[in-house]
Amino acid sequence: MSFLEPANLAWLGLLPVLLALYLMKLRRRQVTVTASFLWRQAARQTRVDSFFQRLRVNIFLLLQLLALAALVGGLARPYTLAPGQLAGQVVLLVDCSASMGARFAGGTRFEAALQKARQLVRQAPGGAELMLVALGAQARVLVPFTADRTRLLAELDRLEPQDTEADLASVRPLALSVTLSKPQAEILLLGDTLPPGTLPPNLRFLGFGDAGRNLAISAFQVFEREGKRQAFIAVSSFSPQAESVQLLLYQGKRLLFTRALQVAAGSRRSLTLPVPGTEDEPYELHLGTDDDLAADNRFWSLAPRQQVQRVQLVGTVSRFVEKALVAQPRVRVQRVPEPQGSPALVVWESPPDRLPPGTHLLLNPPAGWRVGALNDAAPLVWEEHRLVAGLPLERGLAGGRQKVNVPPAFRQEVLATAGGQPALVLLRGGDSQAVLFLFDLEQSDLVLSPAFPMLMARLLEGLVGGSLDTAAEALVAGQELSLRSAVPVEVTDPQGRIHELTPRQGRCSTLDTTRAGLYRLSSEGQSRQLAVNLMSPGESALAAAPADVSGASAGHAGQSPSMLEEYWRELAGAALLVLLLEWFLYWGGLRRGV
Amino acid sequence: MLDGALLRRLERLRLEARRAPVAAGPGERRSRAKGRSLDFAEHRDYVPGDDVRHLDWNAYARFDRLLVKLYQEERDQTISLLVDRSASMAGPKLELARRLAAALAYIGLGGYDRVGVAALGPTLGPVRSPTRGRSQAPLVFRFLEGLEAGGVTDLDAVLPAWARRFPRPGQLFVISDFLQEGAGLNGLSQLRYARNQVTLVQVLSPEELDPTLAGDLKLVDVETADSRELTVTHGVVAAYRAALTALCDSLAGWANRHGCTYLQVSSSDPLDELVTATLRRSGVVA
Repeated sequence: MSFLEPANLAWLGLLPVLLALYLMKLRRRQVTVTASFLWRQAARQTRVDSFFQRLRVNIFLLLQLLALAALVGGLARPYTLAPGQLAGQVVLLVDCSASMGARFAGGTRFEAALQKARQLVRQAPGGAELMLVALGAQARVLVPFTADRTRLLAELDRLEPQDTEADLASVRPLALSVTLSKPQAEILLLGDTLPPGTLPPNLRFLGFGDAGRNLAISAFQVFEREGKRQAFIAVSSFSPQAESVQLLLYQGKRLLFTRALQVAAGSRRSLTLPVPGTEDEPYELHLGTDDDLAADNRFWSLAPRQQVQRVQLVGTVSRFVEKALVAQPRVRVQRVPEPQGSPALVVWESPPDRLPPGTHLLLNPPAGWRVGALNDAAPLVWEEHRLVAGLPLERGLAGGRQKVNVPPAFRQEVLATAGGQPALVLLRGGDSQAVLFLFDLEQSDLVLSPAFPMLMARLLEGLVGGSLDTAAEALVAGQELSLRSAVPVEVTDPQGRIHELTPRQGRCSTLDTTRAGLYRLSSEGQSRQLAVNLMSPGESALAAAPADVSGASAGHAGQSPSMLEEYWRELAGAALLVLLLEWFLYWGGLRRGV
Repeated sequence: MLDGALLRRLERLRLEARRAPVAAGPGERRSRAKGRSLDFAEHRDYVPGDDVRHLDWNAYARFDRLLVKLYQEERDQTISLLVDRSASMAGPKLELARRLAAALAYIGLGGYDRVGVAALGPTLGPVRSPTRGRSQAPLVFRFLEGLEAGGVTDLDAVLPAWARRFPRPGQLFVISDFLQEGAGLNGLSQLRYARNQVTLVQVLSPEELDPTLAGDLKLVDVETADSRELTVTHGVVAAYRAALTALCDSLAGWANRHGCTYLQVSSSDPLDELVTATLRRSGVVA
């Protein structure tokens, strides 16, 4: 037996101190009595007759010494080496995929894996270095090789299962890279699914999981057809027997309807149902079942209204402009004689002097605003404005320039100039905003530039929050969220945690979509939601995992050094028991009146 | 020392003697000496020299023997009040002992008995020799008031000293707490050997009878200053009570065996009730 913290044995020096304190005893209150011989007799009587009194005199000191010795022994962390499992360098690869949240052994597969991981960390040989890798949508190194057990255990405590598939394909490259850098290192994969193919020789799989019964929502989408909303629902069974399940559809917190559904073993049931409601709140579908995996029993879909933006072209709007707008995703372009309803954007060829409330793209200035014309063409100079920054715009020529007197109700931001005069301005005021072209697009080579559609997209984003709309409406958990934006975007995940995305080359992206649920994207006062769902038959199919599979040969396994068995817990428990025994004896003696 | 009302009540009391007195001169108590009084005691055979006036001619006629009539002679008796003034008696205990002794002395003097008083300290003394007459009462009271507690009293030593100094038997009141190893029974036995009629009055304080000590204590003896460290628990207190009871029982047993009287009183008891009720119940006074 050896000690991991032998320096703590110095605390044994407290034993003589305790002994001395015991011998010195307590300071006693002095009392004058008239018959000390009677008290002497009483003391003799109780000593002679009482077993407990003798215990208090002799045993208490022994118990205290014993408790202190056990405590110090525990602090020194004694250990022995047992026939081993672990190498000197170990990579702990913990599967954090959705299926690890399935029921197993009174808890979940993930909890069982974490418990085993903690045990391995605690029992690793003193000099062993361990690395901790979380295997979710991507393999992520949480702790590089270290001998710091506390840090490893703390990271294990923080680890949570994700609503994603496990990136099992990364296990083999990881094993290879570890082999290259640490040839003697062993990789322990704690999970419920074996990586595909032959296991690398330095990889050992410790499995957690039994075959279970599970139903999953494999598809759910609310869409609009002929002005009415409908929901497409698909439920898959991964159970060995037919299952009866209740479908519950919510919008927000409001239950819209419930419906019973029978799903045969191993089959998939699809149905399309009319959906009430016209609100923009997202829909949430629940499976009312107590199966072994809860993560795939909920599914979210955005309301269809959020999906398309209407753009209305008023007047003989340039074909170049129309084509550039039509090319934008989720934009429906209409030519109308005058604005109708509440379009997201109105594009005016000849705008009125008084702009109606809303968002406008003014290809020419209103007649009443014009104060003069500049006939010469001048090169466009683009300003460092967020609406145009980062676009590959060239210094094209702008002809047919206009000088205008913008009503004072509008605040102007110049996006581009030509010949020292504003050529493209952003106007904000009251309940309307607009981008105003102060040159004739027909007399400019800007429309021929490949960057023109990008400019239109950027203007659309900037005016109607379109940058957020460049993100997908729904993602599979763990899939990258990417959107065009020149400004930072905040992403609030279903657990309320906020991630700030910094734009790089006009795009913001994140892989933090590992939780199924509704995400909220926010930027510059505008926001929208995003549905992230677990859609993985591989995760929903709960199969039994092999308990222990090693890719190593028997010889390789035999090279591993011994495994550490620590005894500090036993010693600490013994110290506690001894103190409890002392307490029992002391109070037992008092109760018996000695 | 004693208020007027109590003194008036005491005047109606007299000390009872279980055993006939043996004293020098004639007094108001019957003595075992046969002599001149109206109370017939017994007959005995005539011997030459007897006063022929005491021949019982009726008995001669009936038994044909010369018998002399003997009469109970009345003699006074000596009452001795021995008051323990050891340090353990300090406070209310000695106060009660002094007042009790004063009350007994007053009763005795009122009954024309000779009353002596002595303090039991490390040695015998001070001692006030027996005197007679109620006029002696103030002097006895003053003597008692002058007693102060202190030192160690060994009853086994001082009581025999009294017996040696006053060999004539009488009625003795030993007023003490008797808190010493053996309770002073050896000394008391010396008094009995001298044919004294002994009454033991044990004065204990409420704290001694029912101690409230508890916890880790250093107990210091008030007389010897010996100290002892002791963790006083309920069990230790119970054992103390048992030891005290055993001590008191030994005193009571000794008194019973020797035809003496034993009384245990608390220092908190009122003197009036003690004298007029407790002592009367026990037959010490009537």
